Amino acid sequence: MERCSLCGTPLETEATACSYCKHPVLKKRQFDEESSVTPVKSNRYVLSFIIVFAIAVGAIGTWYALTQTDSTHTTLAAPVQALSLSDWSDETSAYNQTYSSESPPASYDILKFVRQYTQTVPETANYSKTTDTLETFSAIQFATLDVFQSEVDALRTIHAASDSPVPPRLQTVDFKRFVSKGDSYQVRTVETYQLPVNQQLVTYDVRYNVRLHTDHLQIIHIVRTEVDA
Amino acid sequence: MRIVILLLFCSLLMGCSQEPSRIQDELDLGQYTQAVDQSSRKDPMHDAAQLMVRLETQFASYRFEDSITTARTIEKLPLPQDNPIRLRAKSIQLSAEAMLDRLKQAAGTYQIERSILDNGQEETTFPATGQLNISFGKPHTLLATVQYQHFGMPDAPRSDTETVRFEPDLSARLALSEWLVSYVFSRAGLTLTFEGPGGKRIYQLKKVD
Repeated sequence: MERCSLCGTPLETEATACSYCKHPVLKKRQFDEESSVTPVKSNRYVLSFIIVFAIAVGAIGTWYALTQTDSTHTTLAAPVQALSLSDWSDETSAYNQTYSSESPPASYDILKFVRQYTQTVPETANYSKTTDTLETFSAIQFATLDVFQSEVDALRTIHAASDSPVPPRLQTVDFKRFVSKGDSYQVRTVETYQLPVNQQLVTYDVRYNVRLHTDHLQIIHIVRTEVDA
Repeated sequence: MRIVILLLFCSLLMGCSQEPSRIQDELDLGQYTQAVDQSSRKDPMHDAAQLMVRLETQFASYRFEDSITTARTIEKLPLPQDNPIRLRAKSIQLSAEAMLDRLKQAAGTYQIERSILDNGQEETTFPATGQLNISFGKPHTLLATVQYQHFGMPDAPRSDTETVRFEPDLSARLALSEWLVSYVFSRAGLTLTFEGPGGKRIYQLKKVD
């Protein structure tokens, strides 16, 4: 039984004041109510914090373990060999290569195709409308007729040197930009050709547009601009 | 309350997990430009595909030193050991390194050891002297400067310099007036052949330094 904190008189259960000294017992009740509620609330907060903390630590631990596995993979030595020469040089003709939806051209196949085309450029510059037939020019196999004719027009500097007993020849091909746009490929090169007189050089900035025509690659557009080396 | 917190964190963890790449087929087939075209910058393999395009354009330009630098950058990417990009980049790096080693061995001064005239019916030796020096350039490492030093028959020696584009098999064929000149490196040295109307003049040269 509770007693009055002032005079010690026993209190009734619902009494708000001491029946003897009228000392209020409201404060004590309020304190009791607070003390009975607060520990429950604080317990919940602590429990929630522990759960959140455990999940956060678990997530960070899992992430760290996964990244550690990846880096372990990267440090292991891989049994990799150099490519065979025919895979990356121009030993095999890129024109004869055929493709399908199951075996599409890899990006390096496009670069090889354009590089092999550049070797036909000095020959294309030699074309004469009056004496030559188009079919004899190997560039025709790589490109459309419109492209061939635009090349003949653009290669005037090399054409002027074509009569020399020492023919012009390719010196360097630098691939500068290479992107895919849907079904077509755009390749930008800087090409240097050596002319017979005093080993003079001529440099072109060239933009190619290549696409897969049925089962083989074909150049469908070329913009060739002579630039300073 | 607890269930709500748990669900919230589970959804957060799902959001943190790495999104799988959508361009795996293109990467497996070596279609790196298409992989770049079909992916956004957020795709985990976008940057790797972009680096492969750079590597292949350098390699196709025969810029072997640049190729090795880019291949090493790709090697540092956090890709699994058996990732096709990692394997392809490593193969290109090994090819470029092997090519640079061969060019280092091939460069130098060569002296005529034997000179043969092949007129189609018989082979005879003829007197010839002289040297030629071959050096390979940068960044186009297959572009060589060939310096002739009193080279050829004693009555008409050649002393000039020529720029020659070699193919990766270390051979070169050049048209020169009525002649076709070919350079072929081998383990034994260098064979230089002038092929013309009178037959073939073959010079077998041995490295002297």
